[in-house]
Amino acid sequence: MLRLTFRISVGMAFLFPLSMGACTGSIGGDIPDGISDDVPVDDPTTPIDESKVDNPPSAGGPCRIAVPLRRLTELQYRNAVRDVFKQQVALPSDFAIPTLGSPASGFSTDPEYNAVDLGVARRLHDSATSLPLAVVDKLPGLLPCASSPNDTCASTFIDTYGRKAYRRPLTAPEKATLTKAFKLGTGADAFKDGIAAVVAVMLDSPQFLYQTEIGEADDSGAAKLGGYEIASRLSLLLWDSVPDDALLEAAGSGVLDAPKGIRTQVDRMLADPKARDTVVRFAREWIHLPRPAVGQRTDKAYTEALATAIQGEFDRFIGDAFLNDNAPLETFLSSPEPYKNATLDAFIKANGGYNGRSGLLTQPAVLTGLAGASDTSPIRRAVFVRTKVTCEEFPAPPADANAVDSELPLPANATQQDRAAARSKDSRCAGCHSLIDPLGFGFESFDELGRFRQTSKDGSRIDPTGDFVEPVDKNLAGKFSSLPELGKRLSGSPAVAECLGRQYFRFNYGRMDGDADACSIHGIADRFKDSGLGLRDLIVSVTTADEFRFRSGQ
Amino acid sequence: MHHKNIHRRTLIRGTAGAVLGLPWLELTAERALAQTGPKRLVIYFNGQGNLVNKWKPNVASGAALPANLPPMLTALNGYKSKLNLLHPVDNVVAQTMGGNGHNKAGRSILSCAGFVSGENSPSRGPSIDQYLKQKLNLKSLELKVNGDGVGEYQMLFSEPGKSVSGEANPQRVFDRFFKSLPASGGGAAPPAPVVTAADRLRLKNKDLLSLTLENFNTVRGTLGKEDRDRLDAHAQRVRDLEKELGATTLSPPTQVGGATKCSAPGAMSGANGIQVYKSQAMNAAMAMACNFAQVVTIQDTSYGSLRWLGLGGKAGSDWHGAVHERNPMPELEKGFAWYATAFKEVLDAMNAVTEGNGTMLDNSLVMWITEYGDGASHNTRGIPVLLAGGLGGALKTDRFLSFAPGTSSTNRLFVTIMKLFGLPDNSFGEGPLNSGTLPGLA
Repeated sequence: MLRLTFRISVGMAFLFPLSMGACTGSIGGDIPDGISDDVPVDDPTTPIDESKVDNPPSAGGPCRIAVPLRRLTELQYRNAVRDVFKQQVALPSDFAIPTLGSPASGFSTDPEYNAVDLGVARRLHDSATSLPLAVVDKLPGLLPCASSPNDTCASTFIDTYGRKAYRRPLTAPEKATLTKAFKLGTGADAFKDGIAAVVAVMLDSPQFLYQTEIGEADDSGAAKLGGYEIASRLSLLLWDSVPDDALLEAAGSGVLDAPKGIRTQVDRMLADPKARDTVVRFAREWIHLPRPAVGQRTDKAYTEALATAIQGEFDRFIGDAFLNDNAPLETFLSSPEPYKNATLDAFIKANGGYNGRSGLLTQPAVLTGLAGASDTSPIRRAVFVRTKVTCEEFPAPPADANAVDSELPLPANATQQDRAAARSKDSRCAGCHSLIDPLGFGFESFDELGRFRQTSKDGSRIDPTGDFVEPVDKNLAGKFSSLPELGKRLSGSPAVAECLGRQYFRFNYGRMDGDADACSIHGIADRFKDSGLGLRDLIVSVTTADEFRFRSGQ
Repeated sequence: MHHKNIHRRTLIRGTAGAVLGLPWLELTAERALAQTGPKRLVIYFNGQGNLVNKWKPNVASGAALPANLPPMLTALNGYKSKLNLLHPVDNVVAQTMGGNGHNKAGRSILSCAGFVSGENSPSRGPSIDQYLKQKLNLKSLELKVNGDGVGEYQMLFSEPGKSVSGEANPQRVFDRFFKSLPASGGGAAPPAPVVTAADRLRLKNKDLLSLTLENFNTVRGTLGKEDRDRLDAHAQRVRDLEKELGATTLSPPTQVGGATKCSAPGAMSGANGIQVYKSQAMNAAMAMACNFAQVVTIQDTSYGSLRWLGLGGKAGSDWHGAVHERNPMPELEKGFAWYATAFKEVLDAMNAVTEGNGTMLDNSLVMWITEYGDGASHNTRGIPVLLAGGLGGALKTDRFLSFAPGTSSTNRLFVTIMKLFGLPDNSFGEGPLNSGTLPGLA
């Protein structure tokens, strides 16, 4: 029996059978030839275990979250190296760590993405044995006592930079290991060679490469994280880097053991420019937003300058909304605000103007990223709303979607609407596309470069009406006549607020959420709502949650 | 540059009693094997299928290839006597997998196995290159061209769920294997040796990695099972590195396998276009000549662009889209024909290495495969496969082989290859055609 299952909320799933042509990601039969790469879908659909519905496992007890051991991502590694050694050394610009797998969470912090095979180990070791040479060159600035090199000075180096790299003071065995590394330096350049060996071992070691969270066992079977572990969690979450001195001092003083102390640091950290880059990374990975190269859009107006302006405006929009403005969800999803990037502003004004703009939904980066090479993609835009904004678990497109698509009876020079009409009449397509297409066509007033328009490529007049068919939250259902109307409707939905919190949860913990995480997801959503749905408050509500200071066993 | 390195190395041996690097050590260990001519497998992959009707020769199955190969293979005319062209070969397993048409074709093309879990997960079987390597206790080298990220085309797996990454930067491969070897073609007298801080650090590799493993041990004891498994997998790779980099004895390189010396290939180029293909081809051939690897994969990672060709219309701006639409056809023909030009670099590099009475190419099997037959419909049936080299006479060449419907699968192709390499296996991977050999090939 095929059924459409939407997870509206962890531990509280709505299952609704569709009368005909259910959306299951398969067309039936075993034909599958052809492809379906025009619809990016990141979330695999897992059937809901009905025994768990309405019965979240952690109900009653304290909320505790399982957190996998996470390795620094390529970006975090790069930033960490920069910050450990006081901006004195940097990795070469072509440094890259190969990634393995494609995690369900979609976020680059997912350990599935950062497994280590021999190729990765080689790359890490190459880096760990070339960076020390740069560090040694900068020793006068990094280590004042290096002018009179001796064992005491080496010990100072190990304590100072070991603490920064490992994000905590070293244990006695760890200090002993690095001291042995120092002793490998012999001959005329013994001190420098010894320091180089210390840095090499440090950078190759799991204490640097992983977020090792051990904590102290509590009654619930979970571990209460120590101050340094919380500091490390915060800095990697908010900065994609290691803690600075102030954060390490706070960790050492014990103030991070309570949400209040965390709050103080979070406020400070979110005001730092490093936080902007990270929140932009969150948004890009959340939406799964590609940056189309100039050649990937056939319209000649899509120049390098415009592409740069579009990306820059998106980054500005996200950074301001989440950090500067603490923008309410409604503003985020429906604001008519003009673009601050001058190049983009001029382009929009000269091409249809700001008609119908609606915050994130009409950000040119979104409209351009979720498009085809020479036309819009109503499908991608609708799947974005359903899977990313309302967190529906939408099935992957079936294996034979393209083959079936090529069989549809179409008039000559078929338009997107003709194709959609044909899909709606074919039982193999209609199950999913009846949910996708009417929503996607509501975006048609904006072309693949984000320009407002009233006629489509084929010359027909655009009907700006869209229809949100069978959404997770029934209050979202129905026709809308413009994107601001859709945006306002979305921003009033608890499902959307919860979805955004859920995405930040995945980003934070580096994994998909599951039924056992219901307490945390609900708590984040409740605090987000209580704060007035400000986006900066969302980040605060995640980091000041009780469970942020704990980690249940893996 | 290379001369300087070799001189320096001699000095290091004299003063420190230790030596650099893996290459020469392994060379000695495997010299005996080399002189009897090891069998090598090279797999070359590019995405998006081909224009099959312009790839397939118009001759009967089993017949010799025409002197002028079909338009998509014109660049390979000079190698006609060393080729087998096979069509159609079906990737049957991909037909049973749901999800993104690139993901499923990529994951299964060399593994003949489905996803571990969802459509973004790895394959649940090893790929043929890794399997052969493990069974025959060989060494492998994984190379990439046209970019570092494999994206949807993750296709190499050491075991179920474990993907294998490769190296896209030819210079890094060069540095790993050949930095300390003499350049081919002679040169001026070496300049005075300089031992740098980098050399001194590299000489400590074994000790550094051993201390690193001490740190792994410190951490692992504190972790739960799942985390510990993750960390242990990493530690194992560090141990592999220790083995690879921790050599402490040195034997100078000697001639390997006949006439061509194990030496550094020419200058590397990381630039786009044919230069990077050529550089990786040289790395591959010389790594095999030096016996650093016997199984080599070269994966073209991008199906989105052949931008250096300056193709017109959609083929220039969106190669993938143009392939889908079969338009503009003349530009698509140029692009697909160019893939043969790129592949020829591999054959040229291997054919330039003399071994016994022939060349390395004669003693090897080079398989050129793609994930689709007809690129436009992204169909995983009807894949065109080219085999070059005769494995020292074990495989007849200069043939076109076609197959009756339902008799040909990638599984059977790989079983045939395994038999040619002396493995007893009768099946590989999943699916209804996973056992038996490809009729008439061996």
